[in-house]
Amino acid sequence: MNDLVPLLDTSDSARTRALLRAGRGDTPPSHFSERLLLGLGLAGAVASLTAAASAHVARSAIAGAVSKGSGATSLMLVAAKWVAVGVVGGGILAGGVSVAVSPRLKAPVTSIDAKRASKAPAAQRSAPRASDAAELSVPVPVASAEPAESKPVRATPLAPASATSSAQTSAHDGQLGYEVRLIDRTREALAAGDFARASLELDTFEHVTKTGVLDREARILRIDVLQKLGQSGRARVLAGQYLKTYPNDAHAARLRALAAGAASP
Amino acid sequence: MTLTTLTDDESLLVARTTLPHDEPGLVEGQEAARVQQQRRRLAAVVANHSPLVWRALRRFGVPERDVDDAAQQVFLAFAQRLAEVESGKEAAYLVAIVVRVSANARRKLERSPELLSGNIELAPALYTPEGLLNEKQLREELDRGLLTLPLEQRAVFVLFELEGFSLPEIAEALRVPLGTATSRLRRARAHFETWVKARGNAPGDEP
Repeated sequence: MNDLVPLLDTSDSARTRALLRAGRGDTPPSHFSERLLLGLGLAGAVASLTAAASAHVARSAIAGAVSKGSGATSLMLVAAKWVAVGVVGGGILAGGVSVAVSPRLKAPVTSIDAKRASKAPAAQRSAPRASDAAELSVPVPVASAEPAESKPVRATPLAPASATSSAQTSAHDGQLGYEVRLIDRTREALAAGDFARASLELDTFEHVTKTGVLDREARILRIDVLQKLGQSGRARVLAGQYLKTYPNDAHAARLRALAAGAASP
Repeated sequence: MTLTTLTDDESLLVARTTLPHDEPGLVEGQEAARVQQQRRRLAAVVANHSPLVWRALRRFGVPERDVDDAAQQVFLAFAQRLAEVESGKEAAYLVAIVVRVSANARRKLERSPELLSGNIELAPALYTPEGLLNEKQLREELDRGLLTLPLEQRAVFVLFELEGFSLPEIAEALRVPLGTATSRLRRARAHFETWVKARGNAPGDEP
């Protein structure tokens, strides 16, 4: 027996190989990770990076990129995101304290967690815990220009809902930043081969999208995710619908091949 | 899904990795940054390794209905040691915890035989007269075979044959000498293949 080569490759027994193959292909139920994160009070941990600064820094880059076609859009969105994450991360590491949660930030972070919580089965005994509540309502680290030795700042109340037009613009930016992040997470999940998670991220996006800026991108990603999940029929239908709306899109050739039933490249 | 309600100690643990709680509404910058960093790392570990934990728990004999609770225990135990775990060693660390949690779960089942009702080892024979086994049935048979192995052999077998760990990684994760891990794998393989042969050629088997 070769101890370094898996039995799957060396066993004479077809049955042994079939059993091992089945074991290797096993996957957890859908949303298992999400439920765990929720149960551990970490549901918004990743989303908390979507800070005000993210949208603020990314605003102009995104706005410019969106007008330059989808290829440029993707590139610029990624670049803007990483710039924003750098600013946020730098702020946190520099000792930026969690202070007021601006309305533009709070709304998206709350909405994703609330939606995930509402999707959780009723039987979930551990659902909202103190940590969840704290995460949703109190401190979210935001980029701060204050030095590390800055004194703690007491949280300030949220701005009233009836805000000025500039506040509405800020809310729009926060929402857009949030949508950018969801799309980016979808791409990451796709690249990592975690198609179920990619689908979940897109579900979330479709629930929360308001700006419409990234809807086209999301539709393309949805088609890709469906293909990866083996749901080619639905992917073809969506590809056909997309082509009717955007016949000259950069993805058109690929989508036409898909809609015609050809294998995806 | 039914997750276990956290005990006071566990709640405290999660709170520690969530927010400083000594002075509500007043947060020290460096502490907040450290805590947020820990929370993000823990969230990333959960996102990246929960499939491994789920599969390992199932293959180590934790019934499906208990896997969510067991997984939560695993990650809570992991969170307690988060600062000690080197980056890149998370999977090995989790596996060690999974073995421990699985052993506890199995002991609990053995103490309460009524809990075994519906559990895989008591399930009826799954071969259909027509003989076509689907993936689910194969996995159930695999689990039945794995349960015939002692846990220490099962752990090595599952990690090596199903999860793709190397023997040195397994030895490190389980904190046993490499020779012990190798010997356990050899015995587990022999036992498993014998078990499969003893089952005979079931319908649906490959020619």
